[in-house]
Amino acid sequence: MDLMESIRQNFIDEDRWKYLFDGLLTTLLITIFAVLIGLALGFLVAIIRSTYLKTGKLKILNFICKIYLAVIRGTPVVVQLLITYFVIFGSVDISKGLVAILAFGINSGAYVAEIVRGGIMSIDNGQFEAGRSLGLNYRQTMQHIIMPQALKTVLPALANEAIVLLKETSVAGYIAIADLTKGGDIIRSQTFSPFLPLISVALIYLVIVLFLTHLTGKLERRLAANDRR
Amino acid sequence: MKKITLMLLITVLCAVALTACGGSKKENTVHSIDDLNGKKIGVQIGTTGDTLAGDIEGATVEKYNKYADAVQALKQGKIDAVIVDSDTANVFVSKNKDVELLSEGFADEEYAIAMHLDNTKLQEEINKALSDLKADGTLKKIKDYYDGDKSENADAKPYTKDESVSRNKGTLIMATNSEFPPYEYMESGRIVGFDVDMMNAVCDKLGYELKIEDMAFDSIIAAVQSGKADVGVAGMSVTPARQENVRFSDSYTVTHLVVMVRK
Amino acid sequence: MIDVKGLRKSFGDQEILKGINTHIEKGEKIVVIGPSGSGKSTFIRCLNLMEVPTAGTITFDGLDITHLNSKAINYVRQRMGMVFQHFNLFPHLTVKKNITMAPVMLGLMSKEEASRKADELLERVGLPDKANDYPKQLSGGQKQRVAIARSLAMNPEVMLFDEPTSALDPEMVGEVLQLMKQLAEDGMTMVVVTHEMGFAREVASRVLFMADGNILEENTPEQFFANPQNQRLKDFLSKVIS
Repeated sequence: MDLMESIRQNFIDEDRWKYLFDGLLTTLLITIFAVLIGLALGFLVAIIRSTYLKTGKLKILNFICKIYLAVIRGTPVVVQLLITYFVIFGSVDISKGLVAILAFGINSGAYVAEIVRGGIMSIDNGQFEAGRSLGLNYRQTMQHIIMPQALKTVLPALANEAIVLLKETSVAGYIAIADLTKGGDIIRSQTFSPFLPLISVALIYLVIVLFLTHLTGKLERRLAANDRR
Repeated sequence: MKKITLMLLITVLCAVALTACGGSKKENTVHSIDDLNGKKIGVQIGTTGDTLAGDIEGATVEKYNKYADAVQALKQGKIDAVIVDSDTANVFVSKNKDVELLSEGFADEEYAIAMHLDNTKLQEEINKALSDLKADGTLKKIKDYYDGDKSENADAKPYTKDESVSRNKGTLIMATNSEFPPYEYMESGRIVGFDVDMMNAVCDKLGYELKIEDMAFDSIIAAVQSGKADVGVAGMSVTPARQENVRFSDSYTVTHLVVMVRK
Repeated sequence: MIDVKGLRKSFGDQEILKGINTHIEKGEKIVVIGPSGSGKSTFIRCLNLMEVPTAGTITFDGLDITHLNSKAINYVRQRMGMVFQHFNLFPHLTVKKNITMAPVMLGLMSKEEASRKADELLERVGLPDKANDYPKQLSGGQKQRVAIARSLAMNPEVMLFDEPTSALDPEMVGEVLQLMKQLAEDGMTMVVVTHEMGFAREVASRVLFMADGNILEENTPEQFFANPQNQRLKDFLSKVIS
């Protein structure tokens, strides 16, 4: 079978390209919302953790956060996805997309939390003392002095985490979500030819990741330029 | 150490609490094949059930990687029905009290062994072996064993590998998907089932050493096409689309698709 | 103005301050000297509760500040300026924003008032043209002068200096000491931890010598340097003033 014939069979017959296109939309949608949840959750956990580390307050919350981090970072995302789908929402009627967004968001939150906590702790304690010595309270010091600096140092790492998450969503197919990877699998299961569906799925991921990496690089250079002024 | 133990304990407690708060079950709405229109139907990706469900009007087809996941989703009310091969369905129903099968089924399908399109020699060999096994009653013995209640004669293996045979033809690699009882499934860490016993019998007849490769169902045909496996044996029905990509042996059993619903 | 009684501070099982007693009057300029590890930095950091004392009391304007809630502590800190060895300017803010941030955020001044005050302070520390620069663009001496201006913006009643010139290149020490001398002449109450003996001699109203977590000697600079009593102080001075 020549390539043209194969392309026709894999993408054009029965509008099979739609599996990839719809799958891509699903993948992007899940990724975007999961990133948002991950950021919100991650910042919350990072602030609780660093507050505990700096002041010794929030002991119980910190303990809960530590469990969350240990469990999420100590188990594979596929297992978390399956648990979210079959156990946590086992008897709840909830859209699978939402399940995936929650599962990936909660997963990402743990990694974001550690990145942000690292960023906060990397800011010299003198900055914190300077703020407090002026009479600012803990929250004001955090919000206006520590966080703006920490955020700048962790932005590239956060962008990277989003890229990782995009690739991780490829296991969404385990709960029968037709994401990009599953789209390729569906074509494969109908045409029995692994080459084109898999290669095109890989290429689509690659193009998106390269694009995002390019943006991250640009961002990093801009931040570096800011530092030099 | 104490802290870690406490953390684990709390985690487990949370998990238990989450599982415990199960809600009420959804009422079954599928009572005949016609009722499937517009419903959410679970299938295993790449099976004949997948193809068939795609043709049902207005239905949403949820393509799971495993039948077990589709059945689980059905029990939890996430989907309305599962389309599955009858023999496999019987195994699931016997193990899950809250699902049942519609009495009405789909057309008969024939299971056969898949091999590379060009490999006519292997096809001839296998067809000869199959007809021998049909003639001497071995195939029927295996089939009866897996159809019946295995617990009664658990020790009576339907087929025992003949160790005296010379394996001078080398290895025959069989691609399968161990999620498909009773044809192939994991038991005590080994892949067992109808297809496995049958292929052992076939290999004994032909002088091959059987090697089993477990993979996703929708990868089996690709594995046979690419030469990663010599045969695909996985309760695989003969369909025109598959025949364009692989060569099939004579059929070794006949089943049909059925609809599984909640009780 | 500040009364310190039986002040002790331990980090873990290591006791850094072993019962400090002293009294600081309004308008006094106290210079604290001593070998490194003597606890002088810990002492000055206890005065505005950057470090929480393990035992003892610190009374500020008749108020025991060692047992205040955090809100009241913040209020006390507004009235005490602190200058650090490493400046600790906020690198993400301009010089002017560094100065105006706290008074505006704490509602002590409107933006316009704070801005006017910042201009005035930058004039006073000799850096009127640096308002819109970022800390990275300044030399060490300039940074420390901005840090002093930042503290002064809060209109503090007392200024605490924790080794303000130790991190500076030698040629920049003078400009910072000069500014501190001006402040002293303007009547500011000051507590200065430093190794600059010349500054102590010239500016201090009283010099404290600390070693091993205790104040071993305190006296007027004239007596302190000309007629030291304690043997440790004599050894220390002979090493420092060569």
